Amino acid sequence: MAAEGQGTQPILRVSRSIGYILVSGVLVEPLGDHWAAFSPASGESHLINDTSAALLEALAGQSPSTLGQACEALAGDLGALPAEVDGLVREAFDTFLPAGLVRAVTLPAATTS
Amino acid sequence: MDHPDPPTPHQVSARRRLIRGALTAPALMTVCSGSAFAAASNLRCLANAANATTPPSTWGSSSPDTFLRVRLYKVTTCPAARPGSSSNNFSADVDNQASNLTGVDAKLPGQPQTLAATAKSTGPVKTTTTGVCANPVETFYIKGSDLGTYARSGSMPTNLQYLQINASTYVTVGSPVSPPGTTPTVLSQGYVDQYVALRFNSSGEIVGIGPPGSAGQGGMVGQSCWTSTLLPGVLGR
Repeated sequence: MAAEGQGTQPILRVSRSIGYILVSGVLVEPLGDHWAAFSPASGESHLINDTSAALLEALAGQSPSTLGQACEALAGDLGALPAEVDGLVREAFDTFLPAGLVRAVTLPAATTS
Repeated sequence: MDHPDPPTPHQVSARRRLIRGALTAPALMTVCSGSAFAAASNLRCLANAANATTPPSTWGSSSPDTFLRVRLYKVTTCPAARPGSSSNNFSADVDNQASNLTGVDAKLPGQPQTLAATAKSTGPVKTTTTGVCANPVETFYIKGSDLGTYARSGSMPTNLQYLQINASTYVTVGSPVSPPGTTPTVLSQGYVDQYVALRFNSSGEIVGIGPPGSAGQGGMVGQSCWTSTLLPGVLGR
């Protein structure tokens, strides 16, 4: 995360213009040591672990979270640095998006700058 | 120890479950619903059957296909004798002349067709007392009359026609034809425990056999496949 915004990693810059928010109607319920997540968008149910569930919970706000904000939220829960969880969050989004649990939205320019 | 308080669905927080300092990769495993899984698996055998001659890519069309099960009709015939031959393919333990059969309802045991009507057109018949044909030919058909009142495309047989299915390559053979006549000699005919899947398009018209593909492609489907494919009251006859 420390490299964000330095212009040498265009992928990160693109990511900063995207926000992520929980798909409306997603249900997350505890199931033993894991969590069951249902997406009305895909009609599928998923078994997720604590890390994934925590990230979904962090994205359940009214407004989209950027990748950096999601990293900060998860890092705060784990007692880690945002940069340490950056890879985990990216990996999670890669699975949440096609699973219909999270949707990406383009953030207004003022938010991304 | 993760739940200091008795958890309820509304009280449990995933974020509280996280163990500080423990970085665990996020995991997500999709759980298939029973009905979706059943629907996917019970069509697999149908796809597999068709894939014997049909590329897999032809399966999975997004068009709303629906299938109709139609039982095959097998006609066993004895080919006529080759030109110049004095006998046909019937074996010759006892020689009989066609005149001996004419006018006699010479049904083979259990066979619906008589030889009397066909003997005239095939010339002298050498037959055994049991009427065994040396080289019987089995041909499978879909009977147009079995398709009920469903609308059908031109490649499908009318109520008065048959459509042949090649039992080796599992594809249709030619265009719909008239029911087998008196030549070659029909030894037997009747329904068999083999079925084909006729495919409807979104307009409710029967447009082909088996999964979407080139005209004429499709597969014969085993009984076990139909048992798993057809939901009671939904498909089939």
